[in-house]
Amino acid sequence: MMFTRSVAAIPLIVQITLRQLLGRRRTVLLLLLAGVPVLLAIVFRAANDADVAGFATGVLDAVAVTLLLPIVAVLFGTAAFGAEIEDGTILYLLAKPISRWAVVAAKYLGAVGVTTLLTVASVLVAGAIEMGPLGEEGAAATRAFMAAMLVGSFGYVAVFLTLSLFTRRALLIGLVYVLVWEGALSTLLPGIANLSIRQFSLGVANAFWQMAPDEARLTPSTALPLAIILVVVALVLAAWKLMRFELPGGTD
Amino acid sequence: MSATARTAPAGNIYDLGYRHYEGKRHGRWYAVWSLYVEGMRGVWGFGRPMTAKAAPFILTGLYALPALIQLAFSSIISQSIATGEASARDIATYSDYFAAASFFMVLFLVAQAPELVCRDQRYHVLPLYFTRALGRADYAFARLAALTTAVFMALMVPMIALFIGDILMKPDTLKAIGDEWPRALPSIPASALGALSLSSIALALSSFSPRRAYAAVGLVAYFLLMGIVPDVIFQVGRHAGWDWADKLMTLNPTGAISAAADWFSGAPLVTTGRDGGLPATLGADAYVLAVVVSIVVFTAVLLFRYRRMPA
Repeated sequence: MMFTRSVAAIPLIVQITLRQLLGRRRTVLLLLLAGVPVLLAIVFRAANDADVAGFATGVLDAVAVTLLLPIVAVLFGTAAFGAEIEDGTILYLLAKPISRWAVVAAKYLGAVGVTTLLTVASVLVAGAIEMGPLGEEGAAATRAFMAAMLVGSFGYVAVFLTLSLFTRRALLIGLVYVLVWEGALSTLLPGIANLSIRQFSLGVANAFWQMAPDEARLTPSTALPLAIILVVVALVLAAWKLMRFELPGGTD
Repeated sequence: MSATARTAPAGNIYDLGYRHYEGKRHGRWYAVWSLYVEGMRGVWGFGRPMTAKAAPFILTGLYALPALIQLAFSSIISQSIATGEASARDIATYSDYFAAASFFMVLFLVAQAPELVCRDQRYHVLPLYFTRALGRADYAFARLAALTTAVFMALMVPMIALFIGDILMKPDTLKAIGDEWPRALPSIPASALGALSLSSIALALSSFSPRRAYAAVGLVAYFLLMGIVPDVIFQVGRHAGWDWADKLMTLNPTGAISAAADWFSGAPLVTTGRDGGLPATLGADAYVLAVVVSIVVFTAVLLFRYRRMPA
């Protein structure tokens, strides 16, 4: 009874989450950010540049994977619960007779859905524009980076969603994590590759299009299981935390 | 009505009839000065808990770390240069320091610029400022001056460390000061220009969000995009033979500031390098111009934002 009711509630919570995430001014800014790879693809097309590796590292890796993906994921991932905690409306969600894991699953699906849509679409449009000069290899690279965006969205959003249940400053901490761990340290220290979402997503992308070994350090057969483990651990942790969730300022 | 109109310019302490104020009234400029001092203390976290001091001091320390290491090992470095183990070109100089360590300075701005302008909007204290003798432009300029001074101080820490280190490397201290002084001096105007440029960008962008975290995300996005996008377009344009693409390189704030530092010190621009370097077609004066234009534009944006902001 509880189980079926919880499952039945998921689509509605997803719908509410989508409305909460998208109806803000920041969505416009994120759309602009997602437009940057497209803009660069137009520049490449205008120059009739046929350098697949240059397009892949300069646009798809440097802008889409390094910048667009973590920023979109940190904003949507922390806002899925963060906005409800801030407004206090999470009370109405938790008071319903719905299992907490179902709430986590629904919030996760909503946030992952928007993140994936925005990032994968950005890479797809950019790749399609640049398809003319690049040809078949360009299509392979585009597919690879679409896979990277998919894996990266699932990984980042899971981590940030969980983080937002443990601290109210999740957005700042997530930003520092993206800049320091994923940005600076994962390029300086190769050993971090096994613990970096960026490397997981690039590793999966390797299955579609082989990248330079110092760019994507993991093989697809290592990266995908690691990413799945990360998502499962993060979501179990989130559900566990939500079961013990105390509303801020609930003592008075 | 006429009574309030007559007394309004003289003072900004409202006498509601409960408690009278007989003391000295310092007026508008004293209010601006107070806001400036308070802003400076806020950037460095003075008068706040230790957690507020952590970010500015740690990031300044990380920014200055290479120079401090060079200072600490200056005697060993001078020995290895003398024996030929190290080349004099390997050590950091005043004009190329910012380019190498600017990541931490950008983080400093991402952490501290929202501190100055976001909280006042979020907790609705701006009306309290604006109903005093302080105008909206005064508020914006006081905040900008506070952040610029703080960033300038942070930028000067490694310059002073390099100066002391270079003197200690020489056998004759007094003569070394005389030799080193003209080379170190250009770093002062270069740092001032860089501080004003970075601060105007960071404050103007931060002022659009009342939430510090969102402002920080916006700043990160702006600085990273401006570091990548012009460079990518320039590299593409170089292969395609576009002669306009080189001018885009002046849009990168940190790149333009470090090239402007070369203009002040007279050092040649690095036009070759691992990543291709700066375009050879642009002189250092183009970057100085770009930095000045960016200061004017972002200060105008900041003033515009505060003019239109609902208090």
